[in-house]
Amino acid sequence: MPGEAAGIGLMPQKLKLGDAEPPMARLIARAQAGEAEAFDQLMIAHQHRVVSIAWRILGSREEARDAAQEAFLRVYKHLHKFDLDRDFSGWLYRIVVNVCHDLARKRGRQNWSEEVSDLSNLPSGENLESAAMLAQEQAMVLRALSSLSRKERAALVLRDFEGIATEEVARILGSSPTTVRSQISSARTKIKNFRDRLLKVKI
Amino acid sequence: MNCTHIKDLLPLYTEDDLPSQQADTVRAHLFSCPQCRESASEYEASQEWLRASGGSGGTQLEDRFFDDLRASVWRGIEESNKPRAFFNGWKWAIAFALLLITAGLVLHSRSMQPVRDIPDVVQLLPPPATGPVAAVTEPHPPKARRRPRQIRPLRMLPLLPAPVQAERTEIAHDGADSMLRIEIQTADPNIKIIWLIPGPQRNGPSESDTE
Repeated sequence: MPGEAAGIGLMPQKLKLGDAEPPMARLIARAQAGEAEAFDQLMIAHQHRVVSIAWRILGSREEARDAAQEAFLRVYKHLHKFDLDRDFSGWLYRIVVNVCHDLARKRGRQNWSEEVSDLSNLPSGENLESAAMLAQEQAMVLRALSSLSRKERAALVLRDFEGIATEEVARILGSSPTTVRSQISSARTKIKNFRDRLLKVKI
Repeated sequence: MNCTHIKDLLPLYTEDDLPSQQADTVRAHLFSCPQCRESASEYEASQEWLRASGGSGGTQLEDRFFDDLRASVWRGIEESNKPRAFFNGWKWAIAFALLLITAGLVLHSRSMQPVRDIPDVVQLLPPPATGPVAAVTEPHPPKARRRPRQIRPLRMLPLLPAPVQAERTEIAHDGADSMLRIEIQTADPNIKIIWLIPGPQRNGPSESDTE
C-alpha cells in the first residue's frame, strides 16, 4: 500500500463494508476526527456518483478520474470545516462541479469528439454489435452535452442524470432556482434539437 | 396561454419541473392542441434517449478503476502530509537574509565614497556690493590647521551651492572709528568674511553714563 510504503500508514486496509453501514453523519464525524478508514468509506459511498457527474460534465473518462481525485483531495483538506448539519452530498457535488469547471478552463475548448471515444471501453463479454451501437449512442449523448454551455451542462447533469431536485441543484451551483430552471429548460431544448438533427441525418 | 408560451414551458413540463398551477394549464392546453402534444412527446423521447444512452456514465467501470482512484487520492494525501525539505522550509528566510546582506553591503559601499569638497566660498557668495569684504587670512600654522568640515551637498537639490558653515561669529567694537567689525569664519579655515559696518556716532558720554 502506498501509505504504508511511505511509513505514514494513511492508506487503510481493504475495507469490507457490512450490511449495517454506519450512518453518513457518523462516518463524516469519524473522518473529521482523522480516521482514514472512515474517509475511505466516504469515498466508496460516493465514488460512482462523483465519477459519473465528472464524466458527463467533462466528457472524458480520464479527466473524470482526475476530477474525482482532485475533488476527494479537496474534501479531505476541508472536511474539518464541514458542518455536520449540512448536506454532505450537496457539498461534495459542489466541489466536484467546481473542480470540473477548473479542469475545463485549463483544458480550454478542446475537441470533444476525440474524447468521447473513451466510452467505447465497455465490459467484455457483451455482444459486439450491440456494444458498438451503445457506445455510439453514448458518444452522441456526450456530444450533445458538449453543445451546451458550462452552466447548462452542470445543471442538466445534476437534474436529469443524478435526479437531484431543482432547488438542491441551485444550492449546489450557487444560483437561484429560477436561473437553474431556465438553464435546464434551455439545455433540454438544445438536446432535443441535437437529437432531431441526428435523426434527420440517419433517415 | 397561446402555443408559443406553452412550447416554452414544455421542457420543464416534461420532467415535472413546473409549479402545479402552470403544469395544469399546460396539461389542459395539450389536451386540446395536437401540435403542442406532438412537441411534448418529442421532448419526452429526447429525455428518454438522454437517460438511456448517457445514463450509464461511470457505472459500467470496473472495480479496478475505483480502486486506482482511491489509491491515487491516498497518494495525494500522503504527498500533502509529507514534511517539507529543510531548504524548502527555510528558503524564504535564506533569501531574505541574503537580501539584507546585499542591501547592507550596498549602503556601506556608498557611505565609503569620497565626499565632494566644498567649493570655494568666494565663488559661492554673490559679489559684494559695498559693505562685505572677502579676505583671505593668513594660513594657520600646520598644527593648528584643521581639516575643513566636509558637508555633503543635498542630493535632492543638486543645483544649490554647498552651505557655508559659519563656525564663529565675532563682533568687535572698534571705538576709534566707531566701526563694527563682524568676522564670519567659513568652512575653509583660510577664509573669513569680515564685515565692517559703520557704528553709531559717539559724541560724548550719554546721560546715563554721567549719572
